[in-house]
Amino acid sequence: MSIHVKLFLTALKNLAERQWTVRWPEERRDYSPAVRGFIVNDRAVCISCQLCEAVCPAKAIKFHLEQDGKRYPGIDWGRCILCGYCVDACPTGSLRHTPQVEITWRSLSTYKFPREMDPDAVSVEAGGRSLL
Amino acid sequence: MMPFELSSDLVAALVFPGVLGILGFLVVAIWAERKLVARIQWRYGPLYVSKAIGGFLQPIADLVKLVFSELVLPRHTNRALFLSTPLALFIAEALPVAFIAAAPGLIIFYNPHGLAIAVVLWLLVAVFLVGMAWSEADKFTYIGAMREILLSAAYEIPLLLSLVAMLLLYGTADPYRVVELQNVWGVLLNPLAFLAFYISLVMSTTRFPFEIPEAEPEVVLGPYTEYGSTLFILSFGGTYVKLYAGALLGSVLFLGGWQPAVDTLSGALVTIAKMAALAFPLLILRAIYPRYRIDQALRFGWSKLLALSIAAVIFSIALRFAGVI
Amino acid sequence: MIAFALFLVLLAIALGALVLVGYLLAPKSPHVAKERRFEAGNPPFGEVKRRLLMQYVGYIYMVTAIEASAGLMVVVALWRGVVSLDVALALATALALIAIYVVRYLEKVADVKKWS
Repeated sequence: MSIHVKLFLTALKNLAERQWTVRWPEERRDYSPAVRGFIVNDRAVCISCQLCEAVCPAKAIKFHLEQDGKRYPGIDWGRCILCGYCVDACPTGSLRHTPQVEITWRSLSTYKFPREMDPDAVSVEAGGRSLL
Repeated sequence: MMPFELSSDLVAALVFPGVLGILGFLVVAIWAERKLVARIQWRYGPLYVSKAIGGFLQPIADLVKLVFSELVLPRHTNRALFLSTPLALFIAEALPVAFIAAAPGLIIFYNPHGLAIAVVLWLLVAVFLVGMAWSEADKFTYIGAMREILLSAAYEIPLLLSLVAMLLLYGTADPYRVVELQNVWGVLLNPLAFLAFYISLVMSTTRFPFEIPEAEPEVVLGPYTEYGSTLFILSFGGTYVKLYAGALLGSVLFLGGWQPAVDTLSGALVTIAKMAALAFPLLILRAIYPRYRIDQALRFGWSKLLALSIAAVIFSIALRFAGVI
Repeated sequence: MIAFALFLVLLAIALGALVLVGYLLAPKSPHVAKERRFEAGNPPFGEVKRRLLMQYVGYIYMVTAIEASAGLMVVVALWRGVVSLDVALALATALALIAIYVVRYLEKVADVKKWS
């Protein structure tokens, strides 16, 4: 019930606001906590089964070898469409969405080779503050 | 009190709840929906035609464009049925309006049980829609018709029960008496019935969380797939006519009709304001909700919504014995 | 009555005139591909009419069974303007029956695997 009230209030707030340009990153739009955003991988649970790679319709997920000798998924964020198939396919629940949808990088190198989805190890910058 | 009081039902047929009102509502509602949804989604909405007045002439430009596009009659259909069912659907969706009073004297066809007749006619519209989909004979329209039948199975009983609640409370279905009895608005007397009625209204006009029969990503346009040109206007505009009839019925049953006003003209204005207030949340729903699957909608209709409407009936029986009205 | 007839006739004339104007004035260039059944760009394939979605038929049965009693309630509400105790009891019984019926069969109806 409260979620419906909140949805309507958000809609009315957007109706009343005149200013549509967001001065990002000082201003942020607020998203629902249920929004399908940036996908992170919990390496402690990941079993490197590669189901996410198989199911990805945009072929955005590639596995790469890490220092600990295991292979982990990395997402090409230029291809990812945030459909969430990989999250559904993950048998151990190590992949999950975060509410973060503003996926931006300061430098091209981190964007072109996004090998990390680990929430602990991630150091991708987003507009001056950490992405996660 | 007025020179045309004798023919006020003619005025009703021609102007306010009648033909002009329906066609005007079609234009205003389509424009308002596009504009409001655009604002909520931080866009501008239609501005190409008549930028100075916010693109208000866009629906009319669309109408002209659609009238002058080719009318294709598919070869595999029964052409007479293919042409006539959208007309019949539009008129059937407009019929409930005739039995509801919009202001003192402003009613097209007075009947002491008018509101009940209006609701029965409203529930019969689904039959025309299914007939239309059947005469189009297309895979998408077939699926759309099936979904329409199932969705109507989900909303019909809550709608009827919420109406029963209000009729029990007022003890009459006379379109004038119902308004005169509302010293306190119906929505305050029985909020449960209003909620059940409103959700059923959303389902019956297939607004967004229940926009299942004409889900564009799944079945092209559902029951309207084969139509183009003017027949598309008639078939697809029909849902807005249903919304108009539902808003009129809701404002009479729950929002006190023309209540503060006493004469015909100001009463009509008050009713228009209340109808706008009822239709506004329905128009912005498109920007708020995603779409339910058909089984989710059915489960919702048969569990929560049905329980809500049964509670509404019991509540109004209790109110009746407490002597509120 | 005149107003009602006028309302219907006027609406029918307005809508019919719209279709007629479109039919007379719009350009016509018939083509076989246009007059085919719409199948998302593919040539029409197979039969249109298929089997009903069986897992939902139970809902149709329920609505036909229950809507009659809901309609009877409307008739009762109109017939006896003032609600007396016997009418209220009858309505409460009907509602209880509906509730029992729905609670009893909703689980079964919603899941086709439980049909047997």
